[in-house]
Amino acid sequence: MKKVELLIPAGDLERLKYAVMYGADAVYFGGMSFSLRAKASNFTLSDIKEGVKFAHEHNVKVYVTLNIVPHNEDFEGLKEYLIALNEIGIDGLIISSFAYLYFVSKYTKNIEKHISTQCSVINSEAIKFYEDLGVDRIVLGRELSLEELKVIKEKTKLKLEVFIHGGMCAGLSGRCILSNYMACRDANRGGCAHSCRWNYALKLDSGKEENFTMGSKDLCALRLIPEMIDIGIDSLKIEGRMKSVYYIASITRIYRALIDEYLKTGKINDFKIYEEELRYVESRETATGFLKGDVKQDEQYFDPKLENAPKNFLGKVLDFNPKTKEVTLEQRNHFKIGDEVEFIMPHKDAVSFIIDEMKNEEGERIEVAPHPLEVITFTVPFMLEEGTLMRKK
Amino acid sequence: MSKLITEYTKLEDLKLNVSGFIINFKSFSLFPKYRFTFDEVKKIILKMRKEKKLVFLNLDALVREKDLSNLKCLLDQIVTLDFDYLIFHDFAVYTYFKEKGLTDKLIYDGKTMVTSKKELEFFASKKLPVFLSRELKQKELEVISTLDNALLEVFGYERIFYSKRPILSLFKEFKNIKESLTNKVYKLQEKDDIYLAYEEEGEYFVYLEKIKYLYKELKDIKNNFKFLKVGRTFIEDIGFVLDKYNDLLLNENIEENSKLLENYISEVGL
Repeated sequence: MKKVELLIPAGDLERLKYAVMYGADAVYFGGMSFSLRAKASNFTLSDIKEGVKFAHEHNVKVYVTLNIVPHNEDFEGLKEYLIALNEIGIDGLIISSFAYLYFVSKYTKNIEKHISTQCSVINSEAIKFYEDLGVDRIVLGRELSLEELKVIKEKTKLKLEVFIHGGMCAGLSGRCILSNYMACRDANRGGCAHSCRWNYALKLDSGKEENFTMGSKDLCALRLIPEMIDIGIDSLKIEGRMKSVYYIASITRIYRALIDEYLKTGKINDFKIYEEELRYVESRETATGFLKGDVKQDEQYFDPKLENAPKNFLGKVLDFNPKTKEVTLEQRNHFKIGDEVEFIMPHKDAVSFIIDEMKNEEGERIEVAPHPLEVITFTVPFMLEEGTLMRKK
Repeated sequence: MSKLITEYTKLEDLKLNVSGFIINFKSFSLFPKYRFTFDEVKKIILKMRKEKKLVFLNLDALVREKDLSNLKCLLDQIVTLDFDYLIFHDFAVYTYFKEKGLTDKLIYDGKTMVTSKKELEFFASKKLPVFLSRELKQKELEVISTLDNALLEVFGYERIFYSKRPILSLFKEFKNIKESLTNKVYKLQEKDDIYLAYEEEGEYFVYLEKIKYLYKELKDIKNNFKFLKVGRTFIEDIGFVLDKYNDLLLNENIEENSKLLENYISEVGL
């Protein structure tokens, strides 16, 4: 069976490292300019250098987003930036603009050119246009069914990348400028305020006003991954450069395990195991978007009460002493003595444990860890790996 | 000198003082209400030619793979027509016209996607005229329009959202609303602001509540554009507005017309 790439977002260097440790085949992120998700931390050139070194040491590819729809002033420094990225040795650039594509072709070598989902490419004939421009990969628009993906794959030699999990645009990507007018933030230059998810009053002819929103539920294509692999999709992409370390690690771990199980055995024994894991991290209702055909009403986010941020993430293991088995942990959510917790690790099954004693940074015994980012120590009766995270059981 | 164009809606439009009309097809055109079958378009073109008008055909939808064969059938018919330009959004249309050696008939309408001079230069290298994004500021327009392949929509309701999801129909189903929510403009209120929502043929759009227009601002750059489009989405009577823009092209009554247009826009509404 053909190997498929698991492509994970990284909002910063820390998240990149967790994505790599937890099994990404490739990571993507934005630099300080020229990239959407302006509110994600985004990478300096020095971060990019370090991130690429770390990723390449683990045989993981690195793609950098260059995916804004640029205005005249957004070309300043572009040439120098591209030359620098070329020297660093990134593997691909994700591009929305034809002018940027021209610059990339001119100032970089051996860097793949990926057409962003912002271009809303949703058919095989449009792909031919991009193929003629020397593009290597298309990140397809999110308005396609599995059947359509199959047909497109049969008709093109270009690599195809498909979103499998995360936030969805309700509108066609790149063609939504709600934020520009509603929040004075340019959606196509990294300022999306998610205005489609806001609450509106829809005024009906009857005079009645209905609470209304245009947003869609997040995407979860977990059960469709085998079909996507069979179709020959080259890259399965997770959305979420703004998401936490915990989300990135967990989601990577889940999809890594699922993909590996399918590639190894040709089937998924029990999807529920993976879905159960997703419940630990997913805060919004999910659906399959267009993948099963045209969207139904339960794909839309008409009932915002369904949103419920999980507080399962308890802490990040900063250090582990294999001799004493002492854990040094940075707290992220409240926990206390007697709580049953679970450690997730990049290469091992989750291990559970009841906290029986713990100390604060001053070495004092404490009953409760209530403060975000406080450093706690305690011992466990098993080994932990680098990159371990602790969550509620 | 720039030329004025607008959308065709009915026979009487042919008397309007414009250089050409945009005709929208039943399929793959996103203009509300006034869209025509291939046979109707064929007849309209004959009438337009008698009036010596330029003929612009419009296919500005983005096209899913499942709809490609229908698009190709329509394109096979379109190339038999007597037209001057075809406005497109999806590059599947470009691929088809390239194979036929007819790309000189194309105009790209990327809606929100063409926002810089360098982007325009790319299309110039392909010899393609291009509609600029409507959100551009005057200073940006001054710089961008120094190239000769730009078109600009100077008047009309601005579309700020385009979805392949029939969001109003889905909402009707979710809420068990009795009235039909399609083919009709609905007001969406967000705090003190109003926007216009519209769904037709399974596609959903949001527009700004007020007509957006450029007039005085175009005084020095109006002739930098290949064509100026007066958009008439949701607008039935466009004669008054076209008169004002014709004056602008002739440098006549600009200050006075500007005030009249301002009054017109504050009075008309949906």
